[in-house]
Amino acid sequence: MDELDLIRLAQSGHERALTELYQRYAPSAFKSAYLLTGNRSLAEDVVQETFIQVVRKIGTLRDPARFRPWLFQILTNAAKTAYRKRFWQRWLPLDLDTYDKPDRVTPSAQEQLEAYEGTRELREGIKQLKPDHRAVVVLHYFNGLPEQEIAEVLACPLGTVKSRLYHARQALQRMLTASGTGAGRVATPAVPSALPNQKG
Amino acid sequence: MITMDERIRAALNVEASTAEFPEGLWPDILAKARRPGLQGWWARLSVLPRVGVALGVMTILMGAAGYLVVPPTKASVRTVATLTATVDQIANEVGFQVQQPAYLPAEVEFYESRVEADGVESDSKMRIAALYYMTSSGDKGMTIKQWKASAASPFPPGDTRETAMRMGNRKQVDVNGMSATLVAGNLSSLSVNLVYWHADGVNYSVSGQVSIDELLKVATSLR
Repeated sequence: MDELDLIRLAQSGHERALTELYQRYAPSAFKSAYLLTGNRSLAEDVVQETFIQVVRKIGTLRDPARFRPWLFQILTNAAKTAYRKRFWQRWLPLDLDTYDKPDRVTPSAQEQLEAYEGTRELREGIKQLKPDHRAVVVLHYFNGLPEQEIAEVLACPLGTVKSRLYHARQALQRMLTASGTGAGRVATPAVPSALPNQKG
Repeated sequence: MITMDERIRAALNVEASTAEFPEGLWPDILAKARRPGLQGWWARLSVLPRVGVALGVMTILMGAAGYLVVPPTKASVRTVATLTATVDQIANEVGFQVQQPAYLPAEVEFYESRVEADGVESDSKMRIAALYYMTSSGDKGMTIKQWKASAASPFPPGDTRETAMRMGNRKQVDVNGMSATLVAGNLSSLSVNLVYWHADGVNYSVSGQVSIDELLKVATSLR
């Protein structure tokens, strides 16, 4: 079924359509929430809260074609709330120490990627970005949202999105350079094609 | 050559692959979403109950606002009942003979005397005779307070200095044959000393930025 038809059906309260939407979007929403919060348990809460809102409010979405940015808007807001809640609960901001240990590691992909210079440093670097900058990076590079759509999702001017992306890239580049794995220093193989890519 | 953008994308994909999507959330999500929230609960109310709820909320809010404006009965509020009264006027108001020091440290002069009151309810008001002394430069001060009470206490109820005074060193001293408590030094950063005692149903408190010797001389000179 065409996605727009699916969304229209869901808007009319069709439960199977809602279920189908959840199945299509929830996995990538969960991974986005994980990248935003750095914590699986928080990510689970964020996805739950996001889809509770989707079920309750999908009828108010005027343009079904705007479902994706609308969904990510709910998701980033829920992630912000969860992040704040966690902050006050622990009296500490989320940082590297609070990132969970991975559920599983795909050895082949992992090995290929660790061989790919700078990936490990970049992963750590992304976790150290400011939450606002990390959100822009996740939405752009992981979810594949164009800058204009990110501006809608985060309810901020396009210039702010561009600036955050620029500064995030600069910060990551500086980290790579400092760790001796910066671009141009080491010859790098191509990105393994076996990697899951959520873009698109 | 791999671009920075591709590197970031790859790093995010690897990081995301470490967290497995939890199955089985959907039934719970659907159940929670269908549970009526505040909006659904409000929508189901007809006009009259809505008005009732709105009035109730307004009453609660106005009560809270009123609390801020008029403190409850038990609250302690320091107000100046009579400004710059004479000692005789003060005595009339507080209901006992107010004592004055026959001795004052060098450079310390009488500044003001007045009646202060605690509480907002007329039947719970406590009248306090307050005598203020100060050097002409205003850098040092001394206060003598007297109020009716059943037991010795360094300050009238609600005095904000009370907490800070607990930090001071205490010592029992003699003031005209009465057992008094001396609280020495470092009240906040002002190096204030205080001595207080209870006699004939009245509390006496002498405090100020003067030495302990001077303070005790002032205390023992009260007539």
